Amino acid sequence: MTDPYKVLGVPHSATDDEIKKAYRKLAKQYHPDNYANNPLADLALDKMKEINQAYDTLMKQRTEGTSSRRNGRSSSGFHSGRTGGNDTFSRIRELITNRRIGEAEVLLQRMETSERNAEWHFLMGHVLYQKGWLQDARSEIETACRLDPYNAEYRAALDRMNNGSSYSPYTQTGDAGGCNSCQLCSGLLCADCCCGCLGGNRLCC
Amino acid sequence: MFGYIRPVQSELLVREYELYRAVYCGLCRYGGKHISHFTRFFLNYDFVSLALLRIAVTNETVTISKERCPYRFRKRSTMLAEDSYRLTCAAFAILLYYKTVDDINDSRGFKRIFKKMVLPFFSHIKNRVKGYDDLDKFIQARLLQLGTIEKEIGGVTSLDKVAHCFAGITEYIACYGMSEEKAQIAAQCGYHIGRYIYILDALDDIIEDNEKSTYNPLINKYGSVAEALAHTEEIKTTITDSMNAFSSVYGLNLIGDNPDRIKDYDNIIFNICDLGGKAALNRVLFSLAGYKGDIRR
Repeated sequence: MTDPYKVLGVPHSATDDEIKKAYRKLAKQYHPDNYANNPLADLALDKMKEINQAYDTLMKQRTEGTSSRRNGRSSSGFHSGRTGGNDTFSRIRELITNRRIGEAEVLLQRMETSERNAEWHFLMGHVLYQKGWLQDARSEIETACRLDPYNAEYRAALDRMNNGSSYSPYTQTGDAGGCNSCQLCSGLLCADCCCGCLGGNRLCC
Repeated sequence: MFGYIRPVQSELLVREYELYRAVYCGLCRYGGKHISHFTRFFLNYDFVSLALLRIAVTNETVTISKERCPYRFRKRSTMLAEDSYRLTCAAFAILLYYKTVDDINDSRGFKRIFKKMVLPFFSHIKNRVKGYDDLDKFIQARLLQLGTIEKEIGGVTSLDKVAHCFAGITEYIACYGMSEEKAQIAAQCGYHIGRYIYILDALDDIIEDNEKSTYNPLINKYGSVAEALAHTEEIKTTITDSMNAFSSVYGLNLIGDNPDRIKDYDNIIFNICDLGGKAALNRVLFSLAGYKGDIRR
């Protein structure tokens, strides 16, 4: 059994708030949505479960008996058994969920050209992404989005392709709600302009 | 391999930069000692990054010491990570040999004769690698497959299908001898490194290949250099996708019960995929920008 403190990356002396904060940060990073059409999606899900388990254990220990209910499952962005009116697609989705990519690809390729709708292109894109064939995957998913522009599932898949690891310090956006010196200066200038109109203009600059 | 996979040094912390240099130095030294002194002159950043990836994923126990470099005349930090270096150097020696064989087939005239003359020397280097017959066979098979695809110009037009052969090699090297979870992570990272290198190299060589009329997957896909360069955005996107996928997969390596993990590795690797990848791509695009005027002939 791994040490839940180490899993969450907090010291044993951490307060409840610190644990919650660490948990939220990790859950955001390893959320299965970030890895939905990734070949290692199941590994990401395992990691997420590990994080949830560690958090639950700690909370249980701390609150003594009142366990917070968290079952480790969350929407993965890819619905394995969705019934879209076509049994073949449900079967293919099941195969993809069970990591049987080769079989899913064969089934997809066997389908007639007339049957190749937006979902076909989306699933094909998914299969190709798992193989690492990113250019073909992107073009298939883009086709799916073009054929069915209002489908959130296809749109989300395309968005995920554009994002790297949320853990990476180089992909995180800088000032999330913060206030830097530039914003402070422009704020002051704006305030001064307003004051000027109202008869103020106290700032000498 | 061509030295595209490396970090943007100015964005590293000084200690991370030192660590990266120590890996470079260690790998160079190890190759010189166990394979051949001449491998030290051919070593490039791609292999250093592959070695670093393996060290980071396996969390191998390493020793860092100050050693005197005979070529720089001063002492430098050197990292010793026996297992990762042994495999990386073996793969390097094997690839070096097959690259020379490939070059002989591609070149003409005096260059061809010269390369044929130095081939036994590379063959000797490859023969010094012991215990990696499976790696040798795998690389040979994949390169043969790649060669077959490359021979039929106008045949396979899918860029991914061609890149798959090369990416398979880096995938195999990256995860060689690892266990389940680590192997999965390293394999995916290795695959995307290989795919990135292959496509970027094709973009880099596009003008030269066009002049010599040799195979280039991008010319093959789009029909001509002008047409390929008109699709620069598409090529750029797919190369960036590879680095995004690498970054995303490597993120899975971070969590776990490892108090002794050296966290600096992660920062270097994220630097490589998020900044280094883009920097190398921009370098190539910048060098191509000058040709835009005369490719329409």
